[in-house]
Amino acid sequence: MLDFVNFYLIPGIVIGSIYTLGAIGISLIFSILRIAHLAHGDLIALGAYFALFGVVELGWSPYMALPLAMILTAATSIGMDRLCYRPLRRMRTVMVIIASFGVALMLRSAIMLIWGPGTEVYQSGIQRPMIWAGLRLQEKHLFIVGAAVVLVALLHLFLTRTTTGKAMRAVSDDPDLARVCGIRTEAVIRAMWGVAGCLCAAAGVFLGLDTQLNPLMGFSLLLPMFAAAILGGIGKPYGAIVGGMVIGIAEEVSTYPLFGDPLVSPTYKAAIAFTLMVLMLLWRPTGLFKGRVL
Amino acid sequence: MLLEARDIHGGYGGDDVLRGVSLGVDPDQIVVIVGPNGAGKSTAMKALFGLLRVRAGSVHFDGADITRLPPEEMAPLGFAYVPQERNVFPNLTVEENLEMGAIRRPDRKRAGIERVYGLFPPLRERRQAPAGVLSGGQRQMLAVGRALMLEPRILMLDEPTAGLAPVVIDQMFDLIQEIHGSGVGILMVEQNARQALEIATHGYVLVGGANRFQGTGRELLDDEDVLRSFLGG
Repeated sequence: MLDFVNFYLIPGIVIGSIYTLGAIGISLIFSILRIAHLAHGDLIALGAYFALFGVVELGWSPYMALPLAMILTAATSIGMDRLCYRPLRRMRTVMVIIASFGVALMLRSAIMLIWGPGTEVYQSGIQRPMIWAGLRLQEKHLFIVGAAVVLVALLHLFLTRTTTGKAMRAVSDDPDLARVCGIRTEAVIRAMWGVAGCLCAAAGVFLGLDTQLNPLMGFSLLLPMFAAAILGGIGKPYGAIVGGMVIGIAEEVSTYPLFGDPLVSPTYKAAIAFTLMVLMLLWRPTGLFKGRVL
Repeated sequence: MLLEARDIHGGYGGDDVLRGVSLGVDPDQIVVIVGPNGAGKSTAMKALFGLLRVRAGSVHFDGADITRLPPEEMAPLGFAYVPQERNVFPNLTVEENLEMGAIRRPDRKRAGIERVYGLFPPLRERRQAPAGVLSGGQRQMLAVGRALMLEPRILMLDEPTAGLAPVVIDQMFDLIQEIHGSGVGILMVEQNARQALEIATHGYVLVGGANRFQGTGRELLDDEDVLRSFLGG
Protein backbone atom coordinates (compact mmCIF):
# COMPACT_ATOMS: atom_id res chain seq x y z
CA MET A 1 0.00 0.00 0.00
CA LEU A 2 2.80 2.42 0.93
CA ASP A 3 4.58 1.52 -2.29
CA PHE A 4 1.41 2.47 -4.16
CA VAL A 5 1.31 5.87 -2.46
CA ASN A 6 5.05 6.52 -2.73
CA PHE A 7 5.71 5.40 -6.27
CA TYR A 8 2.35 5.90 -8.01
CA LEU A 9 0.04 8.29 -6.16
CA ILE A 10 2.60 10.94 -5.14
CA PRO A 11 4.21 11.13 -8.61
CA GLY A 12 0.68 11.27 -10.03
CA ILE A 13 -0.21 14.26 -7.84
CA VAL A 14 3.06 15.99 -8.79
CA ILE A 15 2.61 15.56 -12.54
CA GLY A 16 -1.11 16.34 -12.06
CA SER A 17 -0.18 19.70 -10.51
CA ILE A 18 1.96 20.49 -13.53
CA TYR A 19 -0.80 19.47 -15.98
CA THR A 20 -3.24 21.57 -13.95
CA LEU A 21 -1.19 24.75 -14.34
CA GLY A 22 -0.94 24.18 -18.10
CA ALA A 23 -4.57 23.17 -18.50
CA ILE A 24 -5.81 26.25 -16.61
CA GLY A 25 -3.93 28.44 -19.09
CA ILE A 26 -5.35 26.54 -22.06
CA SER A 27 -8.86 26.92 -20.65
CA LEU A 28 -8.37 30.60 -19.84
CA ILE A 29 -7.16 31.34 -23.37
CA PHE A 30 -10.07 29.39 -24.83
CA SER A 31 -12.58 31.21 -22.64
CA ILE A 32 -11.45 34.61 -23.95
CA LEU A 33 -10.24 34.00 -27.51
CA ARG A 34 -12.07 30.74 -28.38
CA ILE A 35 -8.91 29.13 -29.70
CA ALA A 36 -6.98 25.95 -28.90
CA HIS A 37 -3.55 27.35 -28.14
CA LEU A 38 -1.15 24.85 -29.69
CA ALA A 39 1.98 26.77 -28.64
CA HIS A 40 1.15 26.26 -24.98
CA GLY A 41 3.53 23.33 -24.49
CA ASP A 42 6.45 25.14 -26.08
CA LEU A 43 5.72 28.23 -24.01
CA ILE A 44 6.05 25.97 -20.96
CA ALA A 45 9.41 24.70 -22.25
CA LEU A 46 10.53 28.29 -22.81
CA GLY A 47 9.61 29.11 -19.19
CA ALA A 48 11.74 26.21 -17.98
CA TYR A 49 14.69 27.45 -20.05
CA PHE A 50 14.29 31.04 -18.80
CA ALA A 51 14.75 29.66 -15.28
CA LEU A 52 17.77 27.69 -16.50
CA PHE A 53 19.26 31.01 -17.53
CA GLY A 54 18.87 32.22 -13.94
CA VAL A 55 20.38 29.01 -12.57
CA VAL A 56 23.34 28.78 -14.94
CA GLU A 57 24.20 32.40 -15.70
CA LEU A 58 23.20 34.09 -12.43
CA GLY A 59 23.89 31.21 -10.08
CA TRP A 60 20.37 31.30 -8.58
CA SER A 61 18.48 28.32 -7.22
CA PRO A 62 15.64 27.17 -9.49
CA TYR A 63 13.16 28.36 -6.84
CA MET A 64 14.60 31.87 -6.99
CA ALA A 65 14.65 31.74 -10.77
CA LEU A 66 10.90 31.03 -10.90
CA PRO A 67 9.77 34.69 -10.62
CA LEU A 68 12.28 35.66 -13.32
CA ALA A 69 10.96 32.90 -15.60
CA MET A 70 7.38 34.07 -14.95
CA ILE A 71 8.12 37.66 -15.89
CA LEU A 72 10.02 36.71 -19.04
CA THR A 73 7.44 34.15 -20.15
CA ALA A 74 4.56 36.56 -19.52
CA ALA A 75 6.35 39.20 -21.59
CA THR A 76 6.98 36.67 -24.37
CA SER A 77 3.31 35.63 -24.36
CA ILE A 78 2.13 39.22 -24.63
CA GLY A 79 4.63 39.96 -27.41
CA MET A 80 3.68 36.79 -29.26
CA ASP A 81 0.01 37.77 -29.14
CA ARG A 82 0.78 41.27 -30.35
CA LEU A 83 2.90 40.04 -33.28
CA CYS A 84 1.27 36.79 -34.33
CA TYR A 85 -2.32 36.55 -33.07
CA ARG A 86 -3.69 40.08 -32.79
CA PRO A 87 -3.40 40.82 -36.52
CA LEU A 88 -5.65 37.77 -37.11
CA ARG A 89 -8.21 38.67 -34.45
CA ARG A 90 -10.99 39.56 -36.87
CA MET A 91 -10.52 36.46 -39.00
CA ARG A 92 -11.96 33.02 -38.30
CA THR A 93 -10.45 31.54 -35.16
CA VAL A 94 -9.00 28.56 -37.07
CA MET A 95 -6.47 31.00 -38.53
CA VAL A 96 -5.23 31.85 -35.05
CA ILE A 97 -5.07 28.17 -34.11
CA ILE A 98 -2.88 27.47 -37.13
CA ALA A 99 -0.77 30.54 -36.32
CA SER A 100 -0.30 29.14 -32.81
CA PHE A 101 1.09 25.95 -34.38
CA GLY A 102 3.60 28.10 -36.24
CA VAL A 103 4.49 29.92 -33.03
CA ALA A 104 5.02 26.53 -31.35
CA LEU A 105 7.60 25.59 -33.99
CA MET A 106 9.30 28.97 -33.70
CA LEU A 107 9.56 28.77 -29.91
CA ARG A 108 10.93 25.23 -30.05
CA SER A 109 13.53 26.20 -32.66
CA ALA A 110 14.50 29.28 -30.68
CA ILE A 111 15.12 27.11 -27.61
CA MET A 112 17.30 24.75 -29.65
CA LEU A 113 19.23 27.67 -31.16
CA ILE A 114 19.89 29.34 -27.82
CA TRP A 115 20.31 26.40 -25.43
CA GLY A 116 21.09 23.55 -27.82
CA PRO A 117 19.09 20.38 -28.53
CA GLY A 118 20.44 18.34 -25.61
CA THR A 119 19.12 17.58 -22.14
CA GLU A 120 19.76 19.96 -19.24
CA VAL A 121 19.12 19.83 -15.50
CA TYR A 122 18.79 22.53 -12.83
CA GLN A 123 20.63 20.51 -10.19
CA SER A 124 22.70 17.40 -10.77
CA GLY A 125 22.96 14.61 -8.23
CA ILE A 126 20.26 12.74 -6.39
CA GLN A 127 18.12 14.29 -3.67
CA ARG A 128 17.47 12.02 -0.72
CA PRO A 129 13.79 11.94 0.17
CA MET A 130 12.63 12.58 3.71
CA ILE A 131 10.86 9.58 5.18
CA TRP A 132 7.80 10.57 7.20
CA ALA A 133 5.55 7.81 8.55
CA GLY A 134 6.66 5.60 5.72
CA LEU A 135 5.95 8.29 3.11
CA ARG A 136 8.88 9.21 0.89
CA LEU A 137 8.63 12.97 0.46
CA GLN A 138 11.03 14.89 -1.71
CA GLU A 139 11.56 18.56 -1.10
CA LYS A 140 11.01 19.41 -4.76
CA HIS A 141 7.72 17.49 -4.81
CA LEU A 142 6.44 19.33 -1.76
CA PHE A 143 7.46 22.60 -3.38
CA ILE A 144 5.77 21.77 -6.69
CA VAL A 145 2.44 20.77 -5.16
CA GLY A 146 2.52 23.58 -2.58
CA ALA A 147 3.36 26.23 -5.15
CA ALA A 148 0.69 24.92 -7.53
CA VAL A 149 -1.93 25.23 -4.76
CA VAL A 150 -0.78 28.79 -3.99
CA LEU A 151 -0.85 29.78 -7.68
CA VAL A 152 -4.36 28.37 -8.18
CA ALA A 153 -5.54 30.20 -5.05
CA LEU A 154 -3.98 33.45 -6.30
CA LEU A 155 -5.65 32.99 -9.69
CA HIS A 156 -8.99 32.49 -7.97
CA LEU A 157 -8.52 35.69 -5.97
CA PHE A 158 -7.46 37.51 -9.13
CA LEU A 159 -10.56 36.40 -11.06
CA THR A 160 -13.03 37.15 -8.27
CA ARG A 161 -11.54 40.14 -6.40
CA THR A 162 -9.77 42.37 -8.91
CA THR A 163 -11.39 44.59 -11.51
CA THR A 164 -9.19 43.15 -14.25
CA GLY A 165 -10.11 39.60 -13.22
CA LYS A 166 -13.81 40.44 -13.23
CA ALA A 167 -13.44 42.13 -16.61
CA MET A 168 -11.79 38.94 -17.87
CA ARG A 169 -14.82 36.93 -16.79
CA ALA A 170 -17.08 39.54 -18.39
CA VAL A 171 -15.27 39.30 -21.74
CA SER A 172 -15.46 35.51 -21.50
CA ASP A 173 -19.23 35.74 -20.85
CA ASP A 174 -20.07 38.18 -23.63
CA PRO A 175 -17.39 40.09 -25.53
CA ASP A 176 -19.87 42.44 -27.26
CA LEU A 177 -21.60 43.46 -24.04
CA ALA A 178 -18.16 43.93 -22.46
CA ARG A 179 -17.31 46.54 -25.10
CA VAL A 180 -20.70 48.21 -24.63
CA CYS A 181 -19.82 48.57 -20.92
CA GLY A 182 -16.60 50.31 -21.87
CA ILE A 183 -14.22 47.40 -21.22
CA ARG A 184 -11.10 47.68 -23.37
CA THR A 185 -10.99 44.14 -24.70
CA GLU A 186 -7.38 44.32 -25.88
CA ALA A 187 -6.17 45.31 -22.41
CA VAL A 188 -8.05 42.35 -20.95
CA ILE A 189 -6.50 40.02 -23.54
CA ARG A 190 -3.03 41.33 -22.66
CA ALA A 191 -3.66 40.66 -18.97
CA MET A 192 -4.92 37.19 -19.86
CA TRP A 193 -1.67 36.41 -21.72
CA GLY A 194 0.31 37.71 -18.78
CA VAL A 195 -1.50 35.33 -16.43
CA ALA A 196 -1.24 32.41 -18.86
CA GLY A 197 2.49 33.13 -19.34
CA CYS A 198 3.12 33.08 -15.58
CA LEU A 199 1.29 29.75 -15.25
CA CYS A 200 3.29 28.35 -18.19
CA ALA A 201 6.58 29.36 -16.60
CA ALA A 202 5.57 27.70 -13.32
CA ALA A 203 4.58 24.48 -15.10
CA GLY A 204 7.88 24.49 -17.03
CA VAL A 205 10.07 25.12 -14.00
CA PHE A 206 8.21 22.46 -11.99
CA LEU A 207 8.61 19.92 -14.78
CA GLY A 208 12.30 20.78 -15.04
CA LEU A 209 12.68 20.33 -11.29
CA ASP A 210 10.83 17.03 -11.32
CA THR A 211 12.69 15.56 -14.29
CA GLN A 212 14.93 17.40 -16.72
CA LEU A 213 14.82 19.99 -19.48
CA ASN A 214 14.85 19.32 -23.20
CA PRO A 215 13.47 21.32 -26.10
CA LEU A 216 10.63 18.83 -26.66
CA MET A 217 9.52 18.74 -23.02
CA GLY A 218 6.60 21.08 -23.65
CA PHE A 219 5.38 19.40 -26.77
CA SER A 220 5.00 16.11 -24.93
CA LEU A 221 2.86 17.93 -22.32
CA LEU A 222 0.43 19.25 -24.91
CA LEU A 223 -1.71 16.15 -25.22
CA PRO A 224 -2.22 15.46 -21.50
CA MET A 225 -2.85 19.18 -20.88
CA PHE A 226 -5.53 19.36 -23.57
CA ALA A 227 -6.99 16.12 -22.21
CA ALA A 228 -7.11 17.76 -18.77
CA ALA A 229 -8.71 20.94 -20.13
CA ILE A 230 -11.33 18.95 -22.02
CA LEU A 231 -12.03 16.71 -19.02
CA GLY A 232 -12.74 19.78 -16.93
CA GLY A 233 -14.73 21.38 -19.76
CA ILE A 234 -12.69 23.56 -22.08
CA GLY A 235 -13.09 27.22 -21.22
CA LYS A 236 -13.68 26.43 -17.54
CA PRO A 237 -10.40 27.04 -15.70
CA TYR A 238 -11.78 25.65 -12.44
CA GLY A 239 -12.64 22.40 -14.17
CA ALA A 240 -9.06 22.21 -15.45
CA ILE A 241 -7.85 21.75 -11.87
CA VAL A 242 -9.81 18.53 -11.54
CA GLY A 243 -8.95 17.52 -15.11
CA GLY A 244 -5.22 17.97 -14.54
CA MET A 245 -5.26 15.93 -11.35
CA VAL A 246 -7.34 13.14 -12.87
CA ILE A 247 -5.07 12.82 -15.92
CA GLY A 248 -1.85 13.00 -13.87
CA ILE A 249 -2.95 10.43 -11.31
CA ALA A 250 -4.53 8.15 -13.94
CA GLU A 251 -1.30 8.10 -15.96
CA GLU A 252 0.82 7.09 -12.99
CA VAL A 253 -1.63 4.72 -11.34
CA SER A 254 -2.26 2.92 -14.62
CA THR A 255 1.24 1.43 -14.38
CA TYR A 256 0.65 -0.02 -10.89
CA PRO A 257 1.49 -3.76 -10.82
CA LEU A 258 -1.77 -4.79 -9.18
CA PHE A 259 -1.59 -8.39 -10.45
CA GLY A 260 2.19 -8.71 -10.64
CA ASP A 261 2.58 -6.96 -13.99
CA PRO A 262 1.91 -3.26 -14.54
CA LEU A 263 -1.76 -2.71 -15.47
CA VAL A 264 -0.60 -0.77 -18.51
CA SER A 265 2.98 -0.80 -19.71
CA PRO A 266 4.62 2.56 -18.85
CA THR A 267 5.40 2.90 -22.55
CA TYR A 268 1.70 3.46 -23.16
CA LYS A 269 1.23 6.04 -20.41
CA ALA A 270 0.55 8.75 -22.97
CA ALA A 271 -2.32 6.71 -24.38
CA ILE A 272 -4.12 7.00 -21.05
CA ALA A 273 -4.62 10.73 -21.46
CA PHE A 274 -5.67 10.19 -25.06
CA THR A 275 -8.19 7.50 -24.11
CA LEU A 276 -9.68 9.62 -21.34
CA MET A 277 -9.95 12.60 -23.70
CA VAL A 278 -11.69 10.61 -26.45
CA LEU A 279 -14.08 8.95 -23.99
CA MET A 280 -14.87 12.35 -22.49
CA LEU A 281 -15.53 13.90 -25.89
CA LEU A 282 -17.89 11.02 -26.73
CA TRP A 283 -19.64 10.94 -23.38
CA ARG A 284 -19.76 14.60 -22.28
CA PRO A 285 -18.10 16.99 -24.71
CA THR A 286 -18.83 19.91 -22.39
CA GLY A 287 -16.74 18.44 -19.58
CA LEU A 288 -17.43 16.96 -16.18
CA PHE A 289 -19.13 20.03 -14.79
CA LYS A 290 -22.17 21.98 -15.81
CA GLY A 291 -22.49 25.72 -16.35
CA ARG A 292 -20.02 28.46 -15.53
CA VAL A 293 -17.50 29.19 -18.22
CA LEU A 294 -14.82 30.84 -15.98
CA MET B 1 -29.13 68.14 -30.17
CA LEU B 2 -26.89 66.29 -27.69
CA LEU B 3 -27.00 63.07 -29.73
CA GLU B 4 -27.58 63.49 -33.41
CA ALA B 5 -27.45 61.08 -36.36
CA ARG B 6 -27.41 62.61 -39.83
CA ASP B 7 -28.45 60.52 -42.82
CA ILE B 8 -26.63 57.34 -41.80
CA HIS B 9 -26.19 54.43 -44.19
CA GLY B 10 -24.68 51.10 -43.25
CA GLY B 11 -25.21 47.47 -42.33
CA TYR B 12 -23.55 44.24 -41.34
CA GLY B 13 -21.21 43.99 -44.31
CA GLY B 14 -23.68 42.97 -47.06
CA ASP B 15 -26.35 45.29 -48.44
CA ASP B 16 -27.06 48.39 -46.39
CA VAL B 17 -29.77 47.89 -43.78
CA LEU B 18 -29.85 51.60 -42.99
CA ARG B 19 -30.58 53.81 -45.99
CA GLY B 20 -30.69 57.28 -44.58
CA VAL B 21 -31.64 57.46 -40.89
CA SER B 22 -31.59 60.81 -39.16
CA LEU B 23 -32.59 61.41 -35.58
CA GLY B 24 -31.71 63.44 -32.54
CA VAL B 25 -32.11 63.30 -28.77
CA ASP B 26 -31.71 65.92 -26.05
CA PRO B 27 -31.61 65.30 -22.29
CA ASP B 28 -35.12 66.71 -21.89
CA GLN B 29 -36.64 64.27 -24.39
CA ILE B 30 -37.94 60.72 -24.52
CA VAL B 31 -37.58 59.68 -28.14
CA VAL B 32 -39.21 56.50 -29.41
CA ILE B 33 -38.40 54.74 -32.67
CA VAL B 34 -41.26 52.67 -34.06
CA GLY B 35 -41.70 50.80 -37.31
CA PRO B 36 -42.40 47.38 -38.79
CA ASN B 37 -40.14 44.37 -38.24
CA GLY B 38 -36.96 44.63 -40.25
CA ALA B 39 -37.18 48.41 -40.50
CA GLY B 40 -33.69 48.69 -38.99
CA LYS B 41 -34.67 50.06 -35.58
CA SER B 42 -32.20 47.97 -33.56
CA THR B 43 -29.62 48.29 -36.32
CA ALA B 44 -29.87 52.07 -36.12
CA MET B 45 -29.09 51.95 -32.41
CA LYS B 46 -26.10 49.70 -32.98
CA ALA B 47 -24.86 52.09 -35.64
CA LEU B 48 -25.16 55.05 -33.25
CA PHE B 49 -23.16 53.13 -30.64
CA GLY B 50 -20.32 52.20 -32.95
CA LEU B 51 -21.24 48.52 -33.11
CA LEU B 52 -21.43 48.40 -36.89
CA ARG B 53 -19.77 50.20 -39.73
CA VAL B 54 -21.45 53.40 -40.76
CA ARG B 55 -20.75 53.73 -44.49
CA ALA B 56 -22.06 57.23 -44.95
CA GLY B 57 -23.51 59.93 -42.72
CA SER B 58 -22.39 60.96 -39.28
CA VAL B 59 -23.14 60.60 -35.58
CA HIS B 60 -22.41 63.48 -33.23
CA PHE B 61 -22.45 63.52 -29.43
CA ASP B 62 -22.16 66.83 -27.62
CA GLY B 63 -20.79 68.39 -30.78
CA ALA B 64 -18.02 65.79 -31.28
CA ASP B 65 -18.01 63.41 -34.23
CA ILE B 66 -18.31 59.87 -32.82
CA THR B 67 -19.11 58.09 -36.10
CA ARG B 68 -15.92 56.03 -36.09
CA LEU B 69 -15.50 55.76 -32.31
CA PRO B 70 -15.41 52.13 -31.03
CA PRO B 71 -18.25 51.13 -28.65
CA GLU B 72 -15.98 50.92 -25.58
CA GLU B 73 -15.36 54.67 -25.83
CA MET B 74 -19.06 55.64 -25.63
CA ALA B 75 -19.74 55.03 -21.92
CA PRO B 76 -17.05 57.47 -20.73
CA LEU B 77 -18.72 60.20 -22.85
CA GLY B 78 -22.00 59.84 -20.99
CA PHE B 79 -23.72 57.73 -23.65
CA ALA B 80 -25.08 54.35 -22.51
CA TYR B 81 -26.83 51.52 -24.32
CA VAL B 82 -28.87 48.53 -23.16
CA PRO B 83 -29.04 45.87 -25.89
CA GLN B 84 -32.24 43.90 -26.28
CA GLU B 85 -30.94 40.43 -25.51
CA ARG B 86 -27.88 39.23 -23.69
CA ASN B 87 -27.64 42.48 -21.78
CA VAL B 88 -26.21 41.10 -18.53
CA PHE B 89 -23.18 38.90 -17.81
CA PRO B 90 -24.87 35.67 -16.62
CA ASN B 91 -21.83 34.27 -14.75
CA LEU B 92 -21.05 37.50 -12.93
CA THR B 93 -22.93 38.40 -9.76
CA VAL B 94 -25.42 41.27 -9.75
CA GLU B 95 -22.89 43.54 -8.05
CA GLU B 96 -20.09 42.52 -10.42
CA ASN B 97 -22.36 43.35 -13.36
CA LEU B 98 -22.89 46.84 -11.96
CA GLU B 99 -19.17 47.17 -11.36
CA MET B 100 -18.54 46.48 -15.05
CA GLY B 101 -20.76 49.44 -15.83
CA ALA B 102 -18.33 51.73 -14.00
CA ILE B 103 -15.14 50.09 -15.22
CA ARG B 104 -13.88 53.29 -16.81
CA ARG B 105 -14.47 55.37 -13.70
CA PRO B 106 -13.68 53.18 -10.66
CA ASP B 107 -13.93 56.25 -8.41
CA ARG B 108 -17.66 56.41 -9.16
CA LYS B 109 -18.32 52.71 -8.56
CA ARG B 110 -19.52 52.88 -4.94
CA ALA B 111 -21.88 55.82 -5.43
CA GLY B 112 -23.22 54.31 -8.66
CA ILE B 113 -24.00 50.96 -7.05
CA GLU B 114 -25.82 52.66 -4.16
CA ARG B 115 -27.83 54.80 -6.57
CA VAL B 116 -28.87 51.75 -8.64
CA TYR B 117 -29.85 49.80 -5.49
CA GLY B 118 -31.91 52.81 -4.46
CA LEU B 119 -33.66 52.78 -7.83
CA PHE B 120 -34.10 48.97 -7.93
CA PRO B 121 -34.30 47.64 -4.32
CA PRO B 122 -34.73 43.97 -5.38
CA LEU B 123 -31.22 44.05 -6.85
CA ARG B 124 -29.71 44.84 -3.47
CA GLU B 125 -31.22 41.67 -2.00
CA ARG B 126 -29.74 39.59 -4.81
CA ARG B 127 -26.38 41.35 -5.03
CA GLN B 128 -24.38 38.11 -4.66
CA ALA B 129 -26.53 36.04 -7.03
CA PRO B 130 -25.23 35.30 -10.54
CA ALA B 131 -27.16 37.43 -13.03
CA GLY B 132 -28.05 34.28 -14.96
CA VAL B 133 -30.52 33.14 -12.27
CA LEU B 134 -32.51 36.42 -12.10
CA SER B 135 -36.11 36.67 -13.31
CA GLY B 136 -36.72 38.46 -16.60
CA GLY B 137 -37.81 41.67 -14.88
CA GLN B 138 -34.85 41.71 -12.49
CA ARG B 139 -32.47 40.99 -15.32
CA GLN B 140 -33.85 43.96 -17.25
CA MET B 141 -33.50 46.16 -14.13
CA LEU B 142 -29.89 45.03 -13.81
CA ALA B 143 -29.20 45.79 -17.47
CA VAL B 144 -30.65 49.29 -17.09
CA GLY B 145 -28.87 49.74 -13.75
CA ARG B 146 -25.55 48.81 -15.31
CA ALA B 147 -26.09 51.42 -18.02
CA LEU B 148 -26.86 54.07 -15.36
CA MET B 149 -23.63 53.48 -13.41
CA LEU B 150 -21.77 56.43 -14.93
CA GLU B 151 -24.82 58.76 -14.87
CA PRO B 152 -25.16 58.97 -18.65
CA ARG B 153 -26.71 62.02 -20.34
CA ILE B 154 -28.28 59.83 -23.03
CA LEU B 155 -29.61 56.32 -22.41
CA MET B 156 -30.45 54.09 -25.36
CA LEU B 157 -32.86 51.19 -24.68
CA ASP B 158 -33.54 48.43 -27.20
CA GLU B 159 -36.98 46.91 -26.47
CA PRO B 160 -36.73 47.29 -22.69
CA THR B 161 -40.03 45.48 -22.12
CA ALA B 162 -39.51 42.51 -24.46
CA GLY B 163 -40.55 39.26 -22.81
CA LEU B 164 -41.82 40.88 -19.60
CA ALA B 165 -45.16 40.27 -17.89
CA PRO B 166 -47.77 43.07 -18.38
CA VAL B 167 -47.47 44.27 -14.75
CA VAL B 168 -43.70 44.44 -15.07
CA ILE B 169 -44.03 46.29 -18.38
CA ASP B 170 -45.98 49.06 -16.62
CA GLN B 171 -43.30 49.25 -13.91
CA MET B 172 -40.64 49.49 -16.57
CA PHE B 173 -42.37 52.42 -18.27
CA ASP B 174 -42.70 54.17 -14.89
CA LEU B 175 -39.02 53.60 -14.29
CA ILE B 176 -38.03 54.96 -17.67
CA GLN B 177 -39.99 58.14 -16.87
CA GLU B 178 -38.35 58.33 -13.45
CA ILE B 179 -34.89 58.03 -15.01
CA HIS B 180 -35.81 60.66 -17.55
CA GLY B 181 -37.02 62.88 -14.72
CA SER B 182 -33.49 62.94 -13.33
CA GLY B 183 -32.27 64.60 -16.52
CA VAL B 184 -31.36 61.66 -18.75
CA GLY B 185 -32.35 61.78 -22.42
CA ILE B 186 -33.97 58.51 -23.52
CA LEU B 187 -33.87 56.96 -26.97
CA MET B 188 -35.74 53.71 -27.24
CA VAL B 189 -37.05 51.12 -29.64
CA GLU B 190 -40.26 49.63 -28.32
CA GLN B 191 -42.67 46.99 -29.54
CA ASN B 192 -45.43 48.33 -27.30
CA ALA B 193 -45.45 51.31 -29.64
CA ARG B 194 -48.69 52.82 -28.42
CA GLN B 195 -47.70 52.73 -24.75
CA ALA B 196 -44.23 54.04 -25.60
CA LEU B 197 -45.56 56.93 -27.67
CA GLU B 198 -47.84 57.91 -24.76
CA ILE B 199 -44.78 58.80 -22.70
CA ALA B 200 -42.64 59.98 -25.62
CA THR B 201 -41.86 63.59 -26.31
CA HIS B 202 -40.76 62.72 -29.85
CA GLY B 203 -41.20 59.77 -32.16
CA TYR B 204 -39.69 58.55 -35.40
CA VAL B 205 -41.22 56.01 -37.73
CA LEU B 206 -38.62 53.99 -39.59
CA VAL B 207 -39.53 52.01 -42.70
CA GLY B 208 -37.07 50.09 -44.86
CA GLY B 209 -34.09 51.55 -43.05
CA ALA B 210 -35.09 55.19 -43.59
CA ASN B 211 -37.13 57.88 -41.83
CA ARG B 212 -40.79 57.87 -42.86
CA PHE B 213 -42.59 60.10 -40.33
CA GLN B 214 -41.52 62.05 -37.33
CA GLY B 215 -43.20 64.27 -34.79
CA THR B 216 -44.16 64.54 -31.17
CA GLY B 217 -45.50 61.39 -29.54
CA ARG B 218 -49.00 62.86 -29.65
CA GLU B 219 -48.77 63.72 -33.36
CA LEU B 220 -47.77 60.18 -34.27
CA LEU B 221 -50.55 58.70 -32.13
CA ASP B 222 -53.07 60.98 -33.83
CA ASP B 223 -51.77 60.36 -37.36
CA GLU B 224 -54.18 58.15 -39.30
CA ASP B 225 -51.45 56.65 -41.53
CA VAL B 226 -49.11 55.83 -38.68
CA LEU B 227 -51.93 54.40 -36.65
CA ARG B 228 -53.20 52.16 -39.42
CA SER B 229 -49.82 51.01 -40.71
CA PHE B 230 -47.72 50.53 -37.61
CA LEU B 231 -49.80 50.61 -34.51
CA GLY B 232 -52.35 48.03 -35.58
CA GLY B 233 -55.38 50.31 -36.18
